[in-house]
Amino acid sequence: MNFKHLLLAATISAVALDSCVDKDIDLFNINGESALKINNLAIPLTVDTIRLKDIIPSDNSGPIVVDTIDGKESYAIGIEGSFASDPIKIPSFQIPAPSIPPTIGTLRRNTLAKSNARRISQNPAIPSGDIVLKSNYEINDAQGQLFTISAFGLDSAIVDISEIETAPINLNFDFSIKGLPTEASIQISSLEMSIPKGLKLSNIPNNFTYNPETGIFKGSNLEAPNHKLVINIQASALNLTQSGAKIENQCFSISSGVKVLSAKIYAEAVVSPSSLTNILAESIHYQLNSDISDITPKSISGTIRYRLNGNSLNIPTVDLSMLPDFLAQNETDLMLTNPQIYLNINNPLSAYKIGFQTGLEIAANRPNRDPQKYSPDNNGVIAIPSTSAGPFNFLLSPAKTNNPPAKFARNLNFIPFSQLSNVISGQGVPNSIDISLLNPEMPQQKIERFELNKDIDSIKGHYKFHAPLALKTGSVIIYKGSQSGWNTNFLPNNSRIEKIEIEAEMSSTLPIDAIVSITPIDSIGEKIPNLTISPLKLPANAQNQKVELSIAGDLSNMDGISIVATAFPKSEEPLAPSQIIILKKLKARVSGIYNYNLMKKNDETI
Amino acid sequence: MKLYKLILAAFIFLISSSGANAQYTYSGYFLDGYTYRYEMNPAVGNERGFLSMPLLGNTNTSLRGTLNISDLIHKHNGETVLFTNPNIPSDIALNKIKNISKLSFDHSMTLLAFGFKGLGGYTALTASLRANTSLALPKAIFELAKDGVTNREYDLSSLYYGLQSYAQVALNHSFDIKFIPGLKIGATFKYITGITDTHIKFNDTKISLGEDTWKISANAQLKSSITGFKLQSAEPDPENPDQPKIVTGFDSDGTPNINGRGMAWDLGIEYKIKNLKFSASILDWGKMKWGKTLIASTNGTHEFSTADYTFSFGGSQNSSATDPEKMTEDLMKLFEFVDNGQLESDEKPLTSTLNLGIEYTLPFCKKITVSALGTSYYNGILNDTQYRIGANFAPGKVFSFNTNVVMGTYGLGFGWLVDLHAPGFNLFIGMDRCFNRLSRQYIPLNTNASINAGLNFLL
Repeated sequence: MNFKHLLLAATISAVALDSCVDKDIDLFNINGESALKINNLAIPLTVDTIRLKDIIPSDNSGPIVVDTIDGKESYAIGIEGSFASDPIKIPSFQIPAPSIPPTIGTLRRNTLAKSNARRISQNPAIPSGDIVLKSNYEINDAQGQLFTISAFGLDSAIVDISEIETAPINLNFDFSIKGLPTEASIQISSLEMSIPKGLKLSNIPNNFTYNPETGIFKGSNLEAPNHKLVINIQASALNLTQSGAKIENQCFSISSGVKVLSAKIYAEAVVSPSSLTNILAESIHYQLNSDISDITPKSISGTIRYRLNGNSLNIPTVDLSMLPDFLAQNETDLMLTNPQIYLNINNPLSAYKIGFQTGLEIAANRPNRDPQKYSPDNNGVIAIPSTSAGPFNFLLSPAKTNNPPAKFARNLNFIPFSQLSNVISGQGVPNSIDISLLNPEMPQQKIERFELNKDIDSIKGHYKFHAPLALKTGSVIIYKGSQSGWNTNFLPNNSRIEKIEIEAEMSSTLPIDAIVSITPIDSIGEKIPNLTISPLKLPANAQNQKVELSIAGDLSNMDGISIVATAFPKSEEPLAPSQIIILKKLKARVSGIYNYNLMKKNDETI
Repeated sequence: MKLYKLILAAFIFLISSSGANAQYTYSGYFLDGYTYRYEMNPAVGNERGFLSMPLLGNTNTSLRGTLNISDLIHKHNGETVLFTNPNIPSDIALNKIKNISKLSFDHSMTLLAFGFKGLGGYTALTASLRANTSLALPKAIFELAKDGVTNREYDLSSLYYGLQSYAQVALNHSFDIKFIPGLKIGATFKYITGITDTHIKFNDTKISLGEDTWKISANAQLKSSITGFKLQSAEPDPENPDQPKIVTGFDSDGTPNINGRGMAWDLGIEYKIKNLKFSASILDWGKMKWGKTLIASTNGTHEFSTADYTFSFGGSQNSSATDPEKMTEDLMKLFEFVDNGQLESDEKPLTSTLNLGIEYTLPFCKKITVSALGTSYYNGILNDTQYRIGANFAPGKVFSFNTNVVMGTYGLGFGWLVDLHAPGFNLFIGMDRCFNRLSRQYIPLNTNASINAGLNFLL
């Protein structure tokens, strides 16, 4: 084989090789654009029975509780608690003792008789020549002292007092005769004084009488050893009607006085004839020293009006912000079928025959809006009678209920409260509701012997706000939510969903119709235009009903979904934990495409 | 890794994994003067003795496959695009892809060989290295890549990867049966020392995406006999020491060494009657006993069904509700390999080859023969059969060549071999399959090609 042969062979080989080359195939410049199509791919899903108890969990700590309503466990907005007033007490007050100056007056002699003393007395010690002088004196003019008994700062609950029972009031009077010789003996035939009226004297000395209406204090045949009569009397009560007391501006005052109205005194003396003229003067004096102790009231009778106070009367705010999302959105408007407020209140004042009352107000609080307030029909009040210690039960609701909680069932008083159904109605469920006892008080009323300064047990009560989650026609639950970030987090880059269909057979025991609309959104949260969307209709109490949802169109910019679920109650049956939705044969059908480039790096965009 | 790169990497791996399941040069089966005919039929000895050039006596490299680059690329609007391009219809894109795409890269290299006439026939001694890497890809993988996920069943059971290499010393002897003129028989005894043997096989792996239920089953096994090769697994839980050890990776602490021994026979027969020559041979009939063999598997068939998982809305407390993460974990567990420990030895038969040939010498020109050869290669999922019709020319004493057309498992192809066998010198070069189509950059677009060359000294 020579060179020519080799050259020929090489040429033939080169030509043959070249003829095998497909110049249209350029492996160094491959267009790597690729697409992975998904065409109506059915993705089967098995979902657990959807139980309302999983959507609305409740540990019974509120505000959503599970309660037995008509023998069936159902959801309710339930708040329960207690309240109490401060201990009821009207403080006592002190009436200081009046300062009474002495009263001095003159006694005039009416008669003077002379006789042998020996003959009279038959006393051998009396010299036979002595003379017995006898004389009667009387007061010409009444003399006395006026004074005012007053106290300030009476408790505002005291409107009027008719009688005060007090610690013993000591009234001391020293009536002394001046101007007679010491050897003269004196007997007070009668003494009539004017002292404060209305006293209820607990001890009246012998030979004395007292008229509380007139204040006349009379005595007769009174011994006055050492020319002095000491009178100590005690009073246990003061009738302010009789005493003419005035109570104004929490001030108490009695204008009174001590006066000697009349007195008759018999004086007798044995004297020697030589001193006869100087012994029993024609006029003598008397002096009355009066002392009345402080008055310390123990109880009062009269009229009071007592405002009940106490932080514990404030029922805590019912926080509704913890309601499940689907109930708590702005456009949800819930009208409750028959919400109820139960109250159970005792009456620790029944022993005093005192009753009390309170109003009730509910305020629904929403952000940046004034509270919306609701009260019972005709501003009805809750009146606790004075007849017994109770407890007294009250139901405030739009309509009576046949199955009140046992705790509140006895002698239940119904107070219509039509607007209670609307307490959470409006633009969204309120963030909170305040239940307030409005002006709780003992209204102005007569009292008898109400003890002052004594802690009387507080008024205690239990409340229960119980609103079954039974929705009236016209209620609407609107849930809006969205999920985004799919394009970056969920779907691969450059993927596009063209159609999504979800189908299932649904059975439901929920008493509500629901329409769930799912709208695809782009990366800035805007709805993607030009889509055909068929919402998911979930009928109430459905039985194996086929439900479908579909979204078709260019979903290339889909970054997430916006969900609007609107629910309408179809009956007034309350929502219950046992209510379920069963989805069988659930499938998601997806059509779409995933574009990628096999010839580019991951971080390069197509 | 993107599909393109994955495929490219697979090709590179196949090419770089020099190994050697015997791939013979069948273009030389009937060719006079081709020194290594006895490797394909032990009954056929050479006319002359020979001594191979060390390491270069007979080198055969072949790439076989039913999946070609040209199957994966298409022309569209003057551009070269991938089969996954949205403009290439699915039926066209997948048309050329077989149900099971097979790829195999074989390499054999004769270290030293010599042959001589004597002992009543012809005797040859050959020391060689052989390596083979093979891969089987079910069409479902390409369908998933092209058509996307649809509600149907994807059978991945044929997914397979194998790597095998060994060295062998073969002693061949052939002789004429004197009492039957024209009959020759021969046999080759091979002593084999194994180096590597690794197989990963997916036996029962299906993804069934029904409309009502998605089911996935997986059953796979890894066997590896490579010295120094170790499976890595997570530390066992002290509280549950008996729990399976999940394979997390592998490691090798050195160069592969001899790890197994085996023996095999090649048996051949040739019978010539007038202008016809019939021949038959069976090659590599024997078995290997591999040394320590690591086994990892999915521990049988594992199944996953979406019907077993229940999702819940609203944070259900229901114990039957499925945690999505658990579902993902269970899905991943399908393909977890458990370290099943190691066998002290693993005995397995060699993959055998059956050749049946017929050659006809043209009566009007004895320098030209026409031939037909059927070859079947028995290797489980990688079985292949090819039929080769060729013409052999021997115009002179020092030159002969063969051209042939081959068809079979790997499609239609063209082969040739040129052999120079001047006194004292033998050089041959040939291809059992040519690259019949090249890209603009002269990159073969098919995966069926082999090249065989050798330099020997004739005695």
